[in-house]
Amino acid sequence: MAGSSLRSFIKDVRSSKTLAEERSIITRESAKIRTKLRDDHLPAEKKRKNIQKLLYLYILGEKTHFGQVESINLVASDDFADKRLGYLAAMLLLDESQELLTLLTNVLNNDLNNHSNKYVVSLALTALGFLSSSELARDVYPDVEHLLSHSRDPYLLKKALQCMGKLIAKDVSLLDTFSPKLITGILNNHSLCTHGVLLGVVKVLQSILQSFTSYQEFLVEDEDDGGSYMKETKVSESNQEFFTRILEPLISIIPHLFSILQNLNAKNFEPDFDVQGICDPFLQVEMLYTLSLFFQLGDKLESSEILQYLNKFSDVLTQLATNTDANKSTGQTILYETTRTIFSLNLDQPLRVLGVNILARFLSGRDNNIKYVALNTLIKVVPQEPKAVQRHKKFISKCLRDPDVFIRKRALELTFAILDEANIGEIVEELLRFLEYTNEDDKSLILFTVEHLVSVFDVYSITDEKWQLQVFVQIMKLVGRHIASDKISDILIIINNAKNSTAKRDVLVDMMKYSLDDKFSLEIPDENVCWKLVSIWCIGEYVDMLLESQDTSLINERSLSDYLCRCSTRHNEDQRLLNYTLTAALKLSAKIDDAKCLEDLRQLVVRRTRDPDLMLQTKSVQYELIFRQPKAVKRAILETMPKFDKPHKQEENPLSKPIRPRLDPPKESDLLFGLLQDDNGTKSANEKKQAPSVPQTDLLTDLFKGSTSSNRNSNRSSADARGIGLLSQSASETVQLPTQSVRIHVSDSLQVFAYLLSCGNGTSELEMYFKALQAIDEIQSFCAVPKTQKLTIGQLYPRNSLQMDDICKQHLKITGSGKLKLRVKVSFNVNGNAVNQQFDYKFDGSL
Amino acid sequence: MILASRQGKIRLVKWYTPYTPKEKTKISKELPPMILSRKPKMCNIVEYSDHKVVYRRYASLYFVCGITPEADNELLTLEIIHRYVETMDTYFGNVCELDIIFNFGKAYAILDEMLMCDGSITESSKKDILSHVHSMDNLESRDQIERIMS
Amino acid sequence: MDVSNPEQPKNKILITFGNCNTYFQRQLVSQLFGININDGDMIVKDLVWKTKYYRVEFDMYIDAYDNFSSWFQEFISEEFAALREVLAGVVVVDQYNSATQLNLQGLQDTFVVWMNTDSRVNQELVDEVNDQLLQVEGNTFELVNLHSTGDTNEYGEKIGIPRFKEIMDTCSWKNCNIDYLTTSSTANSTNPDVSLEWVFQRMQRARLKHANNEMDNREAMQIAQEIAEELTGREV
Repeated sequence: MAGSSLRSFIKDVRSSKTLAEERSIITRESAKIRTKLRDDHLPAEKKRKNIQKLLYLYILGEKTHFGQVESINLVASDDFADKRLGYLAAMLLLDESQELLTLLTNVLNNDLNNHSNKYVVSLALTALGFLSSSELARDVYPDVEHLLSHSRDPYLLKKALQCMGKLIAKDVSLLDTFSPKLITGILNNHSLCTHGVLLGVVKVLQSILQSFTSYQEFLVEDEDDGGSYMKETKVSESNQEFFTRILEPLISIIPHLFSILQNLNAKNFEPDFDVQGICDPFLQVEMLYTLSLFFQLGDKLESSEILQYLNKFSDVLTQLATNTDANKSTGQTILYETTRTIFSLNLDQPLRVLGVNILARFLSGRDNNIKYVALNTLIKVVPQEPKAVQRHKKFISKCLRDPDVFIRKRALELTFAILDEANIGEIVEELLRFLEYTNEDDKSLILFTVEHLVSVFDVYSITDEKWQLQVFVQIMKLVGRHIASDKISDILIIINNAKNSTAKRDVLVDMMKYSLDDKFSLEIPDENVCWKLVSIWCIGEYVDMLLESQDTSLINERSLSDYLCRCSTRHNEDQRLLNYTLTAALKLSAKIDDAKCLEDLRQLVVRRTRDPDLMLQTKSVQYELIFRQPKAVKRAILETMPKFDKPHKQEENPLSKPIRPRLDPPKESDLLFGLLQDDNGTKSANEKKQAPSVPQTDLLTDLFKGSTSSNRNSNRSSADARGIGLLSQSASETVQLPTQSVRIHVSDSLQVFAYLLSCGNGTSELEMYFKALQAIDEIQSFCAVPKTQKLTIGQLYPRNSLQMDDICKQHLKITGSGKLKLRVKVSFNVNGNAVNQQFDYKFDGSL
Repeated sequence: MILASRQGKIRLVKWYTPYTPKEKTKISKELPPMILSRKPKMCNIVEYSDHKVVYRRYASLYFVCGITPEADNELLTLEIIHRYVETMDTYFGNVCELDIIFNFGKAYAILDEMLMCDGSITESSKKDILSHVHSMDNLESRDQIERIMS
Repeated sequence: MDVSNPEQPKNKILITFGNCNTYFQRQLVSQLFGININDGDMIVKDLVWKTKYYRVEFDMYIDAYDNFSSWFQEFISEEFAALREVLAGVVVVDQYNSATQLNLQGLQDTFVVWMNTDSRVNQELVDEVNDQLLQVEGNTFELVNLHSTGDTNEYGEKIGIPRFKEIMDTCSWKNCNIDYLTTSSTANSTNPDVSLEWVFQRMQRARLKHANNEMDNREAMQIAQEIAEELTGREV
């Protein structure tokens, strides 16, 4: 029944289709318009309609470039409606990079000087601000300047100011002719200073303050090429000139800006500018940002003219921080900008603590946007105020359970950022609880956590090995199915290197409970390959230890052999797992006596000698040969794994590059290699990997190099408040300077070195080493990277107070694009006096 | 800035930094589905390649803004979007998707009075923005009537 | 003329009812589209959808089914590809069942609205379902609650029948002959500042100017019509 209706519908469609085809064929709208635009005889009205339709198609994402010339023609029309539409079309269809802009120059010149209709001028300004190329900027600069000095209409002034800001940004050389009087003149005339005009003024200021930096960088780069003394003096002369002619008059308006900002902030109600009871948050934020640029430049130039206002600015910020209503979203916007300013200028400690507390208050709220920006900012702030941030651990932990994955991710990053020797126990436990709550969607977060936990245990030396092993067993239990093979080998290394054999035995026996006991093994799903791999490996490696266990009903020759056999059949497809099983079976056979078990294990090996996978086949054939050897011979071949080193970054092994040439292993290496991992995927994954904070180790090389024992200080005392007792006393940790590091800064009291660990594919990791030339304390470093990059910065390790010749270091990770450049600001105390130093360093590489 | 409907159709778009046509197509294709897939209670700030994107949902329309990380204040961007919607609301009288589709010229005009150059805020007074847009509308219709009458 | 793209206009709305009596069907069609149909009507032609900005002609196909899944299976089968191609939208009127799975492949430019008739389904549930649907890329399916009262949901979206009308309003009517009532530059409705007095004054002046010119009747009529159209804001 139903079908019959559908059928009659389709019949109808077919009949109307032929009808439509007979009548006329509908063509693409854009093609129609294209034809029409070519027609010069169409009346203006129709042309306008066509352009409008074209713009509609533009919005829909169709190709509309053919309308560009026509839109410029419309701009040139005397009719206001045409002109308005023309400018709209030009702004949408053209962009800054196009040659056609030159066609626009004349029209813009005319329109900017139109005295009869201010809206013509304003349209021209809007388009100019949107479209200016550097040539256009030079061509129309005099017109804009003229407007600024002659027009008394706030509407035009605000737009001209915005344009001026844009023009300067487009072409820094325009500053040569720019007169700061344009700005001060407007500011001094109260009747002109509407909020719009003030927004324009701060825009110009921002532009000037920002272009100064690029201007200087440009000159410095020039100097790099030539490097002559003449140039150097020229640079400093032009800097000086810029300073006295442009900056000085502008500096004098800083107090004026303070009072405007304070007035705005204190204002109660102004209907036009009120947003939720806050007066013009837009202007307030823009003013704050401008002032922060002033002081950043002041820091950079070490200009006392600017910095004399810094105390006053701190007062203003304190006032904003205490008086702004934190319950309104607009209030939060201003508070957020205030804290950003505090930290970007690294102001005094009480202010920084105030800033951290504001952000922490954001965390406790319900609004996710606020939480997000707070977490994001706190991450950057940790190196400046670690203690103040740690105090809000509770809120950060709460965010780990936020329903929004973005919040969880940031909270996780922050959690790792605040982790230090004192709170490692507490935080690791917190992270384990976090892992417990994760689900399938959180895979990337899980990987992030595991990867970072591995490095955390690498960086901080743990005395309580049992606890450390338990943590990893717990991790494998919770999220083992997500753990990638390179991390599995990290975990194996940790197990292998544990020195405390009682602890190791206890943990492994406990782990076996979950592998062997029917009831407990329900907790380990089949997909948890990581767990199985590690169990298998441990059976092979620690048979003796396991069989020592009291619980013989659970762990015995039979149960261990069965486990291997079960894994071998159940994971028939997983070659990596089968490889591990083979090795474990061979090793187990050397340690047990039960004939039935031995036969089962032999069968396990023999079955693989016909495996379609060549690697497995070869290996099992070799193994089968060894299998038949007498026990004593087997034992000799299959020694327990030596302890292997993962070169620690704080140890003297930085020569190891992230990627090493592959060694051609000697014959028996096949065996040994197989004991650990020998799956191709793993190997290449290791090579491709962007090392986290530890240079990736090639297990093979380390194995055969003979283990150079680490020089890590073993003089540790457990001192943890919660009684976990894991940590080494930090005072005894020392950091060595890698031989390949480069000196990037030197002063009377401090030398700074950089050591590039990796660079490329949009990520770079490096370490900064601070070497004290005299006793200094409370070192704080603050780094900035170009706008296209993002910086994650670790804490100073091992401490932030140094004796003479002591070294501390800091880990940096930069992602993004462009040249690798750093701006570093270091502050510290020498004999109780605060010292600030700032420097830039440009690396050879790019991201 | 992009305005997209619930079905992911783009209703208004303005590029405040130059992009190649290819990049534009890529962004217009990738961004709306990404924004639409966000659950309602999630935060309105998203990381997209090396940019940050701030968005807000009003009825069936999503307002999406790309911003410069570090320099721009994400919360302020949210306020700016809200201001823009409020202003359109007053202009159209409870603005709806259809108004924007058929009056995109006006939607752009309001936007241009509010943001200039590379997206910096130019005017914070709603009243000021509306009065200037109205004046321009008047100029237009006077011209038009004048043209017909002569 | 470019004839490279002889696409069919998408100007048909298919409405299909599950287990509703004909009285209800007639009522609902009248509520949704403002037209009256007779029992047994299957194809209704030359209908008009009108908004503030445009009017467009469309046809309606009315269908009913006993079992939605089998109806839908048939509808998305190869046989009806040509039908799907000309559909601006599909409206299913039935009780919403969360178990219903729709494969909307090939319906990328066609909206699909499920008008839920089950009054036990509240708006919160509808919103939740729609939020889930938003996760699916390229989705055009939306659940609308026929019984929802009030103006908007928690996102400020229209709900119920007004939301359905909004979906119709904003549908793209691809390749259709759309009759635009106003265009963006001549939206005079938002422009109360042109006073009538001013218009009359201009008309007066125009009359004086043209009084001396010889003008035949046809020409005069044409001008008059242009003026009228301009003032009412309708496109010529």
